[in-house]
Amino acid sequence: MWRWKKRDQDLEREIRAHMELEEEEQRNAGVTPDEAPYAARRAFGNVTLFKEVTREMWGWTSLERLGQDLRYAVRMMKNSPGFTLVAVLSLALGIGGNTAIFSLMNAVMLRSLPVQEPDRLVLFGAGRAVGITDSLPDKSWQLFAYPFYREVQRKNQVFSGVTAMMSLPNDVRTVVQGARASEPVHTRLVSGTYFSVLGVTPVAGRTFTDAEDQTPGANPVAVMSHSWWQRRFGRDPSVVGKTLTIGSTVYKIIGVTPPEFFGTTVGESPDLWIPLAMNGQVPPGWGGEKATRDPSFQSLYILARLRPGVGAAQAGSQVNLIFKQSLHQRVGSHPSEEELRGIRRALIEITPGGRGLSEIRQQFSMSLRLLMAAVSLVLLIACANIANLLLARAASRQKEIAVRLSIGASRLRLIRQMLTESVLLAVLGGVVGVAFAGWAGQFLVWMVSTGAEPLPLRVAPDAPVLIFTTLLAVATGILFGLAPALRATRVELSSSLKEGRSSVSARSRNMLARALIVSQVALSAVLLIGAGLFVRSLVNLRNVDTGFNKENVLLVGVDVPSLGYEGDDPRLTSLYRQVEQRVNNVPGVRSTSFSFFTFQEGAWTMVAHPQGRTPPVNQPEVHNNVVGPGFFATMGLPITLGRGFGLNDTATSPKVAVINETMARRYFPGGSPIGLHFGFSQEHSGDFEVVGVVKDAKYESLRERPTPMAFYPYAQRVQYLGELSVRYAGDPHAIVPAIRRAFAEVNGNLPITGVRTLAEQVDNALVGEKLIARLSSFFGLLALLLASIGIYGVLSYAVARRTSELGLRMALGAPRSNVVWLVMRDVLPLVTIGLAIGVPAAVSLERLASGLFYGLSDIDPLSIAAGIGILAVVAGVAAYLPARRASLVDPSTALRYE
Amino acid sequence: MAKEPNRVELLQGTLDMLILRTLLFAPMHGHGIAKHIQRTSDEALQVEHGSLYPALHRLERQGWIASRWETTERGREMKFYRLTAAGRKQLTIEESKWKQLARAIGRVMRPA
Repeated sequence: MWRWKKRDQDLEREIRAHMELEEEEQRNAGVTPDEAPYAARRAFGNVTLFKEVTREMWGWTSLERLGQDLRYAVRMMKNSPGFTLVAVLSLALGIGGNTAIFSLMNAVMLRSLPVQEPDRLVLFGAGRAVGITDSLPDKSWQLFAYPFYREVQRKNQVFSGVTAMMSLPNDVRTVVQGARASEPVHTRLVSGTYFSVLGVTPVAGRTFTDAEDQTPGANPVAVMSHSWWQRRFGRDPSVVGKTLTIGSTVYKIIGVTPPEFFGTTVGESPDLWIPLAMNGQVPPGWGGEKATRDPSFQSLYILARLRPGVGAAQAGSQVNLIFKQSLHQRVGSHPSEEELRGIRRALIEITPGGRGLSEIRQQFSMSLRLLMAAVSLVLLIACANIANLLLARAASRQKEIAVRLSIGASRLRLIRQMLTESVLLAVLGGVVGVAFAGWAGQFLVWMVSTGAEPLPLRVAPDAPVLIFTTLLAVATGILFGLAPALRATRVELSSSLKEGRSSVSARSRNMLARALIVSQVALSAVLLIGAGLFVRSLVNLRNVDTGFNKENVLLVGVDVPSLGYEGDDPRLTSLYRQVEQRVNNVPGVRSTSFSFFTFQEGAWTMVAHPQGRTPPVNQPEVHNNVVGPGFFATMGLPITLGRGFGLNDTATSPKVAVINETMARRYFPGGSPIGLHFGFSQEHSGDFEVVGVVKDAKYESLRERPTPMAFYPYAQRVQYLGELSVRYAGDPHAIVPAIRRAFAEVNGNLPITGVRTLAEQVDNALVGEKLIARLSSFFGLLALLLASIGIYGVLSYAVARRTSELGLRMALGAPRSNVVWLVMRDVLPLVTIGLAIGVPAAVSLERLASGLFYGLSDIDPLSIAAGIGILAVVAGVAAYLPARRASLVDPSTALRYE
Repeated sequence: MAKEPNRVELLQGTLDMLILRTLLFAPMHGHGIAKHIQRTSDEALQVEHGSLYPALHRLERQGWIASRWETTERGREMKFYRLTAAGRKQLTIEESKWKQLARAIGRVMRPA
């Protein structure tokens, strides 16, 4: 800066010397001493202009010019601290909100996995399912069998590598070598090629290889995550080579992944990775050995790396060729017509895999997009507000601007100066906003997390987020600064210099201010009505009949596999029986039952085949569950026909099932299904006898339509069950310790992993809806606040300008109420027009997004009425305050005001 | 400010050449350059003194002239400009360009 100052002084001195010399010569030529300075000036021309142009010649760095503008801008901001505060705060809220939502969006939807060349990774299907299915593919498929993975690996010419991951997590307990107690570890089963295909280099030890993933159960090795290494072992390098025990198998720790690597699922951070070939040994042993042999046991995601020069389309056609071949092989030489039809429809979509898989992405991407749109509208409203304030301020700076223009400042220079001011405001708002966003981001993660610990998502601002925010701030500054700057510098010089007040085409300034108010009202209406729709839809979902009774039920998580029994050990049945009996004896417990699933814990689906009947058209998948005798009583599911399960249903008695009303209607139409049979294939259609029909209930989500369900007694289907449901009466806090004691009495080594209520579990199903309802309400109210500040500001300014007129009216006898009306009358058409634009916009948006709302008609009158009502009241208050102030002015003061 | 009828406006871009030409004989300050141009053109060329300064500062930035504060014989502190070697070369270029232009215009105005 000193360079600029020195040069400026130098020019100053040079021109002064020039002038003095010229004056002297003029005097010598006979001009009077009084006239000489003027003559010199005339000979020189416009001093300011030439100075300005000369400065341009110095070829300043744009930095110096910016510095000059910035210093001026800071001075202007200091001169009006109130304006600066309001502007910076509303921008901070707007930009901060945008940054927070964007950083969550970035973490969930946009960011690439920290692996080598993520662009070349592709996923088979869209990763839209989790679980195990044995259905024959007949549509776009998501889950794949282990033999198919091997086939693709062997036959393809389009990938440089293929890897497979178990879609279900294995959340097990482990005992680390040397430790006494077991501890929980999030474990993922992945193919031996996993780390090499992703290109993940270990920070210690090594990762496992394809060779270690060939023979089931042969290579008990584990790779641990950096975060577990740090958390559990304090990054002790000697941990590599130690062992840990999971179930009854001892695993060797062979390596540690780099700190940024969190696996391939966004929203998860596994502690351990174990080769898929160990599937049978790692509890709960999903499908045991079947998982690596049976082509119909489909439970894997497949991720592959494209060879250089190969496109997704080319890869897709080859993958689908292999897929169809494998399906034809699977149905054998005499496939049914239906199977052939299914295979024709079966398809693997090749999707980009570089961003990894994510359940939360599917769950929240729509919500996040909507919130992004909402928060952008809030920012627009904030912009309109500041533009309005700047307009009012420009009006008061009119004289200054006129002077600067008349002494030779170029209009462009002034506009640049004013834009510097507004961009500076926006950047300040952005800085405060980023600080606010850091905090808000954590809050958002907490809001989308359902478990005890927040989701492992990195939402701290990173480079893309900061770039986004910077661009946003600069664009915002230009957006709200440009119109006022253009308007302010369009001055009729002579009249401005004379009056300095209300001479800039006051009408057009007003038109712009009014247009801004109208747009604020319209945008607020959209946001408020939208928020109303989301809130109402949430309320509807909360009131959905789940079918079961969610009140007064505790869900006790149990880590059965850690006892070391195999998954098909018949001792499991007696263990479950004993626990149920003991817990039943706890005072306050009404009934209790182990089960495979309760609401929204996943699904086990199969296609059922009724015996001696044609299966229903499209054969809807049956959702299955394995439960104890007390399950229906515990869930409050009434049995409408036949019986539930009893202690007489044992491993040796005839296999029985209870089905729900929808399954009875679809699979056994016309008459009672009691005594009829079904199975999971044509040959086994006599496997299960239907002994009862139970009322329909929600299974996976609150929005689902009634779906066929079948229940099987655990005594006839031995497996690990992870949860005990307990229906109680009275105070649950007194019951939980008693339940723990009951567990300890049965088996001292049986750990309880957690206790929740069923009501909480149901509530968790609404996490996305709650997020969007809360945040859209917050944004709606914020928009309302900003819009009312806008209305208040514009009216205050109008009142100030009309003080003398209003005083005159009152002096002539106009009643105060008349004056209040006179002022408020100005806003009425603006609010009306704003609503006339905003309400239809909101309605058409509702139509577009009707899938998001639950149980609302196309036009929801309540939300619209509430939105209009709230807006009208708040706008009324915002307009009334300045109007009242105007009416309280003393007429004599007002008349002297001008 | 009424213009005297026998004065002509400077052609765009010729001011640089005139300045360089003026400095060819001796270093001079801005005021002196203005006066010199007016005098040698028999007062025909109208130069607003102020317009010299952007040109001087531009030429200095291009390295064709250099400046120094000096005291005149009459005891006045003035900023003197002098031609550099590069400026001398530039002057010959500008001069030949100007001659070409003048010839061309002359031919158009008075076809042979």
